[in-house]
Amino acid sequence: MSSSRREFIRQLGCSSLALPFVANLPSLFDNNSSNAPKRKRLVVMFTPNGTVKKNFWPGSDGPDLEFKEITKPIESYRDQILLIHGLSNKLRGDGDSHMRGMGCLLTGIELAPGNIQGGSDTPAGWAGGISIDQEIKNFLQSNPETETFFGSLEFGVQVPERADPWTRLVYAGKNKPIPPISDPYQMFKKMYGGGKEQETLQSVLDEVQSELKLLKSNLSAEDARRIEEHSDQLRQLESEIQRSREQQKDLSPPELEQGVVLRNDNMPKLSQMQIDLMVNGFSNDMNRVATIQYTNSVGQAKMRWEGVEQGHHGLSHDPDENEQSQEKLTKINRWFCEQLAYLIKRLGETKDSATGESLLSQTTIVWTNELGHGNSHSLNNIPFLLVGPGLGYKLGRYLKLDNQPHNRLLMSLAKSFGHELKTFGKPELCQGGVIEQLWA
Amino acid sequence: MLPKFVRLSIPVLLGLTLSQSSFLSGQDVAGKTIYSNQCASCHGEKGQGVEGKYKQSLTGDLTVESLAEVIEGTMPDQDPDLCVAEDADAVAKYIYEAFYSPAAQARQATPLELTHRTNLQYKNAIADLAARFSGKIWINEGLLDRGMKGKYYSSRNFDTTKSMGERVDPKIEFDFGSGSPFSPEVEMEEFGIQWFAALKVEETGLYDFFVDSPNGIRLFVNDPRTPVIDAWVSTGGDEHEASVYLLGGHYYLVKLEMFKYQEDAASISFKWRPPHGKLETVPTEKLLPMWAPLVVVSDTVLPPDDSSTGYPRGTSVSKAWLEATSESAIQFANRMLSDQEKYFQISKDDPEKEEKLKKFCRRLAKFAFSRPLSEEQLDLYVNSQFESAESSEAAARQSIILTLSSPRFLYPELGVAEPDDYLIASRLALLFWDSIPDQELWSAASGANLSQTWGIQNQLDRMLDDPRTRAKIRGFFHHWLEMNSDDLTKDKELYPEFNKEIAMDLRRSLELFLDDVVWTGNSDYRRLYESNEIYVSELMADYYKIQPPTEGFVPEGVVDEVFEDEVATSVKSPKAVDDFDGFKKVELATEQRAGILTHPYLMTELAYHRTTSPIHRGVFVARRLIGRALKQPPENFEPLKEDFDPTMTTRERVAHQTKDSSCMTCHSFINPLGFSLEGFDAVGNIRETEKDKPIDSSSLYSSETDQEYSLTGAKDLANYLVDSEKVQRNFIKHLFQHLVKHPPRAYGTGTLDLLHQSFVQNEFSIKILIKDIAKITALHGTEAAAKLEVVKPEKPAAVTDDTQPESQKDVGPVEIEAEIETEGGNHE
Repeated sequence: MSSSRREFIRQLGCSSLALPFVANLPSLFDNNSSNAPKRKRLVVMFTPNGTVKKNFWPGSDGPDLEFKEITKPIESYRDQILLIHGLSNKLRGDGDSHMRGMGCLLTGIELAPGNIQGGSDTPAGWAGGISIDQEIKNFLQSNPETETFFGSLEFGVQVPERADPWTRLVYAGKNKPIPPISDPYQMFKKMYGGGKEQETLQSVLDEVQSELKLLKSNLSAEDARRIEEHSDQLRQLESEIQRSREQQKDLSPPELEQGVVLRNDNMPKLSQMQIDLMVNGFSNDMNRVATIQYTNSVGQAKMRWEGVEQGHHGLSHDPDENEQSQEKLTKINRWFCEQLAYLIKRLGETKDSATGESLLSQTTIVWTNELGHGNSHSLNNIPFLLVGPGLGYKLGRYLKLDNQPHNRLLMSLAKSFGHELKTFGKPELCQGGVIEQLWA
Repeated sequence: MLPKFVRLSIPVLLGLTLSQSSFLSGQDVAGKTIYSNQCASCHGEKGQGVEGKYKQSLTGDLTVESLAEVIEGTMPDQDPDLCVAEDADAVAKYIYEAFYSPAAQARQATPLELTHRTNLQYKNAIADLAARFSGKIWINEGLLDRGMKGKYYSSRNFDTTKSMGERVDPKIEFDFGSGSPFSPEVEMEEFGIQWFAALKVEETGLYDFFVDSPNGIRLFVNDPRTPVIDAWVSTGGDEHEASVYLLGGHYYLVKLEMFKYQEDAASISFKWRPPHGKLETVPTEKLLPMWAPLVVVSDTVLPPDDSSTGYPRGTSVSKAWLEATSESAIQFANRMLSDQEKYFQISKDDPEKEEKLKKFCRRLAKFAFSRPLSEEQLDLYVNSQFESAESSEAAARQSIILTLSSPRFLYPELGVAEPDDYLIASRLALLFWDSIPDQELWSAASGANLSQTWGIQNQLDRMLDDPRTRAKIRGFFHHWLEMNSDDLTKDKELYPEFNKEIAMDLRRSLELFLDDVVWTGNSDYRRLYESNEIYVSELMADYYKIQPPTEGFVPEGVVDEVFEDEVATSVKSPKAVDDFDGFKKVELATEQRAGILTHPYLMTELAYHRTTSPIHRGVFVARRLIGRALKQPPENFEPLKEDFDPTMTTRERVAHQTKDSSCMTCHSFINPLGFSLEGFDAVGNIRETEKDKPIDSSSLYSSETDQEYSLTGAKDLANYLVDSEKVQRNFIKHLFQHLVKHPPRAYGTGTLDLLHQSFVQNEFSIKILIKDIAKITALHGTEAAAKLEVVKPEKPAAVTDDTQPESQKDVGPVEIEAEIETEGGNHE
């Protein structure tokens, strides 16, 4: 209810019902002049609890890609993929590995001391700095040529209604976590205003008008005038809603299935809806940066649709020797990879409505995880799988690095947008600067 | 819909003659002719005013004699000599009778206008509609302690197997140090506490809540699912704040959770700042240690109600209003549909889902329209929606939005063919609660009890005794006494110790007094002016040198003997009567204070930064308390500066500036009223001198009937006010308008007379007055109105003459006030 769009609309002093959509605001959508820099987009896709190493990592040292059971769903995008091994989250300090894995993943800085006790180690609080997606977003928003209406959108899929270091990936700054929006309808409203609601309202206005007419007949002349006024004003409102809806149609918001309740068993539908919204937002250039967070660190998704009844995090604690659990975890991660495949597919088939380019050509997706391995809670060799040519990396290969701090990748992402950072997060972990091999 | 019986019945009941037909004598005919020839071109045939000439209407409360003087001296504008002597008298008499006087205005028929719900009536209806479906929790204040129920655990996860016990904490203000919440000396590394309470909210508005704690905390207000403050992770700083818009007259759940884990120390405080209030620890008196149901509060911003007649009414229809109400309807539908189990009793995969949704929609329409629906209406509002929509949920959404957008909901009197018991119920709910009927009213209406004398009486008594009624009455006083100022600051040099906290306490003090007058004892209106009681906080007691009562302010566990000595030796030792909210009711020995009239809140608000303002005070007394009509001043004036003549007192300066005859038309009575309050300085302290001259608070007040009253000061003025019939009628009129949102004469020209008569006979009981107003207006136009007996003294009618004000003997026909208040008109 208090999305930023709503606040924005409040600031304009009117309700969202008949407000022409943001397309009406000049300059925010019209930056398709020919000499504008090429549009670049970043998506971070987060899935939790580590991967199943043997079914994820190629057996070789590269550079050839090898698609194991988990990554099979994206094999057909071989040429678009850069898989990086050897990046580690080297942040230490307060918090258990899940918390640090999550809170330091995009921030590259320690968690502040706090009161949240994990399964081990010391209690901790929020991350101590901004996350890289927000850093890039702020950079893009500070330049009129790359400024967009939202800058970034934060999607969630079944993220619990709970704010703690396990549920927050994105930070606006120290102690400032940004909650993802897990409700596609809420996200839709944030992006497109109350289109569906306008439609419902429109559908009843005729009946209201007929009631007004009926009720007017027995009134005194004075009272009848008031009802006529009501009727006139309502007609005006209706035509404004109509105009507003026509404008929205130009943006062709995605058709969302209605009434999908936010619950575990609807995850596949919710995931698809969120991806459709993300792709749509990109095609209308509402934002250049997006994150999509599946559940949370220690998330307990129960993928019954994949035949897995147990919770994800519980399973991830089982030893590697437990073949059944390994198989289930593989199914879980493979399902996540299918979501990635859907995202790639949608970006590939959708055009930037202003430039006509394929969105995939503008985009790089980073699929990552807060852990390298579930049962050991290792923060070493965290999966970073990059898809899409948007940021200009050399694709179609498997890049093996030697246990480098992941801060260097975060810096590299910023550099791809032209944002040269000396350090990001904890300075000691930025030695060596950006990872030149990404481009080579 | 319009009156059938009341117009007839009231005059008959009262034996009053309000004949309109034959008042034109020979002289009047002459007056009419002169008026037509010499005056009407600027003032209009009926004194309504002429655009471009003299716009304002010729109405007011001067006597015929005064009016004649004004005409003789000033009219017609181009040549005042054209109309003098008998001609001026004749014109004065004619216009006085025809349209000028309040009585003449009251004779103008005022129809009962069709109005929509005011903003508050709309929002309350939304809240109460939702409540009809979510079940009700009965709160019996009498049975409960005050404070928050606290559940303590030796676990940060509120593990019930690790309970440490429960208790009621009067306020949340703890420093546990490093120890256990129960015994500070016992070190405790980990614990968790959950507090909850039903918070009593009396005023509608934005409430700020503050939680200060270095530990993990969460605060829920109203909605137990979504915290308004989530600082479970404690690194974000110690001070947390959230603002929540709440409707007055309801109880809201407040739930506060905290935990400590391995931190060095634990502490917490829970404060709030209510609208117009000060930042303070959430007071014990407002907290009932129990759960409260969710109140569905619409947070849509509605455009302000039209208040051009002096009080908010639903008379303005704008696109913005329609847009806001539509948005609110959509929000309501979303809210209902997002919690289907609660509002529709729909379980997961419920086979009866559609039927339950339909049932909800049928009941919603019924409650919203305050009456059962006809078959056609059911088809329109419910059945056809379910036939046309793509899913049953979409249908329910459509139906809900249609119902809440319907004129039948927005205009409560619309669509009623014959006034019946349902209409009575609807009117009562609006009058007392600004809302919709509850279940009991429904039962009474469907049993046709409300048109029975006993039936409506039961409801009146029950409804009066409801927190929502109290909230509404408090709103009345805020409006009537113009208690809107949030910022009473004074000159730091002259009043160095007067601060915001004292100012806030003043307002609260006045509210407590007003509550006391209405809701305790005989509910005697006269106490408003006669009482020498005041509620004082510790700050006020210090500042105003009001001797604190013999007990109370000493913090627990501290014995202050000096304090007791002072009291013992004090000559004017007051009696402590009551304790509420940190305030004590004190009966002042002094004869100087007089109820609301000299209450330091009003004295402070009606004053400048450095000096008093006899004009503000005089205008306030004349307009708000007495109900005299004041015209706009002919031009805008800057008040004379204090240094205009440093030897002059405030009174002297005001007298000097307003001495012109054009000013004196109004200032002849404004000034005396204001001067009589000169014994109170700009912060309401009693004073005896100004600039080393003794205060002169004596004055000669000339009433609207040209009666002269010699007043020696505030107490005298209070005595005049309490006896004045005009003042009583003015009070009734304001209260009426606040409750009903229509002027009294829309219910028949004798309405005010009838109410006043009853008021006098019932020893000026405000509670009975409220019920009288409710009865007259709720039954308006019904069969039952014919046998309406408003005047029903508690005791056999022992009407003695001394309750009859002087004025009644002198004035022939009872005057009936003009309903249109002249707002504005402020010189300064």
